Amino acid sequence: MRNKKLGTIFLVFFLLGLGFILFVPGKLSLQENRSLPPERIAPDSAAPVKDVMNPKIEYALGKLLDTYRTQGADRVRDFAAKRNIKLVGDRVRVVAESRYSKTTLKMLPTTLKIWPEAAVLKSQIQALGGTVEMTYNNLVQGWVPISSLEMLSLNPLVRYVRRPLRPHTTGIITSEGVQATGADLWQNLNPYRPKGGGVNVCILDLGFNGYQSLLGSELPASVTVKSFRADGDITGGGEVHGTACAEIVHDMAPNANLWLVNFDTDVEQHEAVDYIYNQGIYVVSYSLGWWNAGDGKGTGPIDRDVERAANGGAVWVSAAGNDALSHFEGAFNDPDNDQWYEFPDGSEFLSWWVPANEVTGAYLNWDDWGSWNNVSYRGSDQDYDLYLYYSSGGAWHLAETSADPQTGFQWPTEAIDGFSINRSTWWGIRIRKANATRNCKMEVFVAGNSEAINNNVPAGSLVAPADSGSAVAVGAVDWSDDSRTPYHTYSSQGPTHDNRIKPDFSAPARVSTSTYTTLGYWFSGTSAATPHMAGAIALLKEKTPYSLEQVIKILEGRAVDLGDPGKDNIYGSGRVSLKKK
Amino acid sequence: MKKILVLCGAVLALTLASKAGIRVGLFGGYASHLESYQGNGIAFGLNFGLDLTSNFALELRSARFQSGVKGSKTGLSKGTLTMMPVEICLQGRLPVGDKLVPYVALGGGYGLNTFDLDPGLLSDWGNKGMTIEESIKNGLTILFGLGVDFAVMPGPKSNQGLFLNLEARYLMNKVSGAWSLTDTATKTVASDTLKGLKLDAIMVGLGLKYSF
Repeated sequence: MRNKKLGTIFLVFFLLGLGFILFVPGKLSLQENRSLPPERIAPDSAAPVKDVMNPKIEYALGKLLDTYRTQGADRVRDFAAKRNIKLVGDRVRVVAESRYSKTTLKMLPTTLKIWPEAAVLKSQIQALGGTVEMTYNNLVQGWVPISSLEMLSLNPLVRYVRRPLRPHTTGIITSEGVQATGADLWQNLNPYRPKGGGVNVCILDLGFNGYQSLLGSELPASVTVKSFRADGDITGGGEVHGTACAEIVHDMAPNANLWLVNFDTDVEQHEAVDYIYNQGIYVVSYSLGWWNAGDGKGTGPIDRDVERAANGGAVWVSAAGNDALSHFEGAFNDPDNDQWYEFPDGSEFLSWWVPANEVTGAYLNWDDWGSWNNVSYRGSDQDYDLYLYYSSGGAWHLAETSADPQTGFQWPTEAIDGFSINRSTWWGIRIRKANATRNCKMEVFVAGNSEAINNNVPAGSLVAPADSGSAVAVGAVDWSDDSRTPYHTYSSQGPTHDNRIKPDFSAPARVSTSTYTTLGYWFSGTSAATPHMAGAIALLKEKTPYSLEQVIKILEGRAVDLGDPGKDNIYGSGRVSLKKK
Repeated sequence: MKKILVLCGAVLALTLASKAGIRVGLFGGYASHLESYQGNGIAFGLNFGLDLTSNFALELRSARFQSGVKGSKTGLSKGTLTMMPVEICLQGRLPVGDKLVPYVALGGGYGLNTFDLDPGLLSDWGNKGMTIEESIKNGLTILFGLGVDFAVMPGPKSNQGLFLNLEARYLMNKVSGAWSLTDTATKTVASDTLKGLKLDAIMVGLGLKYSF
């Protein structure tokens, strides 16, 4: 009797346990171990095979074309949504780079430089059923039918067909920084022999949603607004980031004239800088950053824009980036000769933890950019590929591959972004040496990680164009108290890849703005720090007769030195201050 | 200064060598700069005259006046401008009756100018860690004047006695200057010159002269 009772109890507990395992799998067997990433690869992800792709078409676009041909239009939309590729109907947004045989026509009184190939490309895109949004030098941005991508790439004038590059915002969050920097002490001071009229500051950003409602209160009563987006949308699709940045510039320098200029792609930014060049802008506040857009030595098309603005008399204040905890770099290392990079911790995976529904991805570049000729890089013949995995059931599963074939003219970059799943888990990348004769130095930026990535290397985590020699790069510190540890650990660090000290300054972050406070956020990140610096420059320029170079020198002298004595790769010259020293 | 001493010496020697009438006087009045930002101020001074003939006289005079400068972006900043022109002028005198002598005057001299920045302005910038300096130079002056001497206590001769004097004069003084702003921490200096700075003024004065 007693044995029967024990048997019944055992049976009940067994059935309850089995049911729990079967019906709530995510709570037990599939729950990821947060302390450690997986060590094994799922069988179906063990040996990813590199597809043979058209080298003149970016890998993601090639896969889109392949999906279009083999799986039809519905699956193309799924694929495009997953890979963050913009589609309208069956047309995809691309940038076609022509070969750069710039022709110079000397027509007095001016010299006209034209890219004849770009003009031909424009006609061809239209002939293929596409539309052209804009051209800039050798770049033609437009919408091309997916089915015509191959045809477009076959044109000998085409160097490369890619998605438009897009910057990312460098933070979210308002401003106690005015008092912290001492800007309030200067605001009511009568100017002493200021040169020129008012100080013109351009906030170059992705979007200025809601700026109209702030005119005359959080922003000046009137501002100049200009959109370089192909669709002319100054809100940038509802983006408030630029509005919050403009608020801080106005908080710091209330008399500055503000230009709110937005764009969405690299080509549009080049156009915007042409415009800025002719507007008598003194200061450009740029709270954006780019991954995979240059060699980290101050060259590349985005850095070139900074130089052009500087040639027009503007100082470009650039966010250092929020990537100190999501950055890795190191020379390719493969002790077991299996072509897979072995990271410093001995794993072939670079892994990071991602909260549920957070969008994640990774950007890889290596030091084989070739020479920079002010238009593009010569390109890379060292081919490495990038593989993105997610963890499930204690094993790695392949999510996506980026395998552009670097055959001599493509950039040394691979990127996979726009992935998310509805539970927190580990994500990881592997890097494969596909066809390379030397072990290049790899650099990885990760998006979406909630804490430092494994094998994290904070040094050298600057984004473009903060690495430009013409940019004033700004890191983030807490506004509240210099005596505590003010460094915001996410704030990107120097040096540049050619060993220059960056950032140049640090400035307050985690501050209040009307824009973000109403949404329930502080404004944090180097995005918030940058307009404080831009505002400080504008305020000193407005109140004094100093040149911009002298203003920067004075601010260097007044900066509150933090960290190592002197200028360093975390705080630059220190936290910006206008107070008497 | 040397020029002024030479000028004074020359007039004094001429006066002592002459048998003509000698006049000494003092006056006070009000001076107003033509550049409105340079302000207005009380003027006072001395003069020393010599009658060359019944219709011409030579006069050496010096005045001093101060004005509160409101400040300008291109001229002087807020502060106090002090001018002390030392001048010699030729007067054309046209006596009317026994007591009234209207005259016109034309002359020139040398202006001793100083400018002091407003202490509040210095303090404002000093609190920001910056020092401002501004200076103006001395320079030649030209003057035109109209006046009248009225004998309140006539002497034995028509040009002797105690006279009440009323005069208006236009003083031209174009000088240069310099300014600088220095960040004390970094020693970063912004500076420039102030060229063609006009300190022209109209002065209206009332005075007493004793002629013997």
